[in-house]
Amino acid sequence: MSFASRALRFACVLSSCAALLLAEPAVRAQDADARARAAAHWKRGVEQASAHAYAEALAEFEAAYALVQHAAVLYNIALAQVGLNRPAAALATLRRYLAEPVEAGDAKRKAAEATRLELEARLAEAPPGQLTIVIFPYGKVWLDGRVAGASPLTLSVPAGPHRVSGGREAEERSADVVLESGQSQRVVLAWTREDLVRDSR
Amino acid sequence: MLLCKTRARFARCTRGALLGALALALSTSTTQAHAEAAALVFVAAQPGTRDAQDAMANVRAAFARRPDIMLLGNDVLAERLTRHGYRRRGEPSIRGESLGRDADELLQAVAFGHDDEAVARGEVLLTEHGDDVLARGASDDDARALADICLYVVRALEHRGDGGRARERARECQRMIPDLTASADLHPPEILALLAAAKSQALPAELHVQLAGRVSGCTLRVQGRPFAPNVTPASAGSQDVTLVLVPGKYVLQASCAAPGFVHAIELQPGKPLTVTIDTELEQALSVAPVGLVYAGDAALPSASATRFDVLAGWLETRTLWTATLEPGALQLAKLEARDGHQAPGGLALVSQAAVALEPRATLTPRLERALAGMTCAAGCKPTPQSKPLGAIGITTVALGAGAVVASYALLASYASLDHQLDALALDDAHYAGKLRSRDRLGTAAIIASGAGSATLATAAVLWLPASEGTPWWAWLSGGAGLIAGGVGVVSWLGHGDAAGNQAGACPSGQVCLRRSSHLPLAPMLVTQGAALLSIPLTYWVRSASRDASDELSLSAGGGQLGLDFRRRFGGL
Repeated sequence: MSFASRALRFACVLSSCAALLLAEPAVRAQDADARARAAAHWKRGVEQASAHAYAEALAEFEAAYALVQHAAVLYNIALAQVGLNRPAAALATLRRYLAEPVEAGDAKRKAAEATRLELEARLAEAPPGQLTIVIFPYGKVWLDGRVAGASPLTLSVPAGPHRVSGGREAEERSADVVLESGQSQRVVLAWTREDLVRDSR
Repeated sequence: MLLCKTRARFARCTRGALLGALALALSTSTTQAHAEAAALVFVAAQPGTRDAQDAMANVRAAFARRPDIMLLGNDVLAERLTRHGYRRRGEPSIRGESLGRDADELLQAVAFGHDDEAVARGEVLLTEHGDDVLARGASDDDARALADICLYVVRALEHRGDGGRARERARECQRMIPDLTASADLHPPEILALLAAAKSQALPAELHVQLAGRVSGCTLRVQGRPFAPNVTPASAGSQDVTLVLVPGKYVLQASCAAPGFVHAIELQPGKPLTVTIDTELEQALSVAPVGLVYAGDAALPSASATRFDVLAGWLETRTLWTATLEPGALQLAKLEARDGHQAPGGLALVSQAAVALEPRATLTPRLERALAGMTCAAGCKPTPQSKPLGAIGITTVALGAGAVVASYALLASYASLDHQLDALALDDAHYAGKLRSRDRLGTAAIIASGAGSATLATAAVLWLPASEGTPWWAWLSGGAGLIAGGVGVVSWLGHGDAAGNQAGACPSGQVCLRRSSHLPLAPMLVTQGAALLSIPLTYWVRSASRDASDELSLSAGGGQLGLDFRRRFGGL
């Protein structure tokens, strides 16, 4: 079963739960109008996913999540990313989903966990990507909590989500990056002149 | 036919002689101005006042009227002083914000790992603006920007594995900005360590700077950076400042009320160097539109004599004129390098004169008269002296006069033969021969007159006495020349072709034609008139080429004369 078809299946399943999700206590506090619009985005996202239009579906789910930050939406976002063959991004989203508190009636966690493991295994075998890290004006680079070298630095990094940090002596600034297989990405952690003046005080 | 040919030849000869005489007179007259150039210095306590400006303009005008004094022009003065570090007042001292922007862009390049671009661009910026900006006095922002640019180049060199060049550049950064303190916010610790190592590893050189003069509150700038702020030179003696620097080339400047001269020095490793800067002289000097101004001692005290020695050296002249503006009077002085001394050093007072400032209307001629007296040798009358005739002058005048006298002797022979021809019939056997002899004599007389006149006109410049303007007798000579020339032309036109009808000497029923005996005299008068005219003309050319900065030259060719006026900017 491909990731895309699985995504479709999950999307269809989740679409039936939309009303329930939007009525949950965490959501109730939201503005009624926002909820209504989130539901509309959700619905359109499911329709697009059903039609294998994953890019449009992802946009709709992201719009829905922007309005109502519900874990279920994250799950659908991850599935749309799988559909778009962006496993590193999907893994990052699934990790966020799984990091959310378990909610009553959320039956997708087990499936999400399985997908995460599958994605991790797949990314471990995929060719790495290239990450260029610039600390401005200068500094050390940390990758996933380990010192990687002095800026500017170009590294071959396994595809997947990573945490890049920079600083003079310690990790002062960080950024989460998602690197797809074979992709090149540049991360700039910059201190402005104002930052430098403030820090020196 | 014979007459026509002869007349054409006469016309060519005469024209050639006239052109030659004029060309020689003009071209040799201009050599008068090529004496050794002197420098004029105005000494005034307050040169900016209107009275001082008027007085200085009068002095300048009086000097300009003296054909025997050649002064260096303002451009030459400024150029020669600049060689010794003089900077025109008001020159921009900094390049402005753009240097800071350049530094920011270079930081971006080096931070993003574009090392080759950073090195290339940084080297260009440092070469183009480094020493130049520093020499003019860098502001704190400019100095910081330059230091940052220099250290970004070090970082880029180090990052691309060029450690040797990085260390060399770090030492150069230290030399360029001696008070460099690099920011730890912008430069990594390893670059700061490299900079510290460059400073400690180089064998330092000691620089002793003595500030002399009576100007207070001066700041000594090294590479345009203030190193010893508010150093006050003592009124008698000097104040020492000692600095320990990385060896290399530096520029020093003592800035007091205004920026001082920029002194270029080179420090050798381990060798101390002492430099003395006369702050008072540097502060006092400026090249104003009216000339070189020394805004200092009003009374030209003896302490200034050494300064004028130095100044003469800077200006590369052996003669220095000073015009000191005092209350109610101008003191003129002529200083000259003593025999055997080449400036600088050894200037001696040759002559001096005081001229009252009032009445202003007659100040220029009175100054001129004073200058005439000062240019005289001891015992001479304070009027322009005639130049002594040299051997060439005597020979030339003698040759010219001899030729003119000879032309009249030939004319007398011509007249004698002409008279004999009157007595001969045309069909006489001797008539044709005598006629040819007479014509040859006439031609010779005209050539002798033309050559003599040309020679005399040429020699005019050698023997004509120097004068402020054109003397009355020169005008008289010119008038005589015009009259002679006019009479000659009229006579030539009226009688050159005229027919002399010797009644009775011709065969019956024929009209005899023979050229009038006036013919040789007419062109002779024209050529000699031109020689007389050359006298006022010589004076006119002298006055036109009086300014040392200007030059008249004459070109002759293709039957045309060209008078060329050009301004000279140096090499006097």
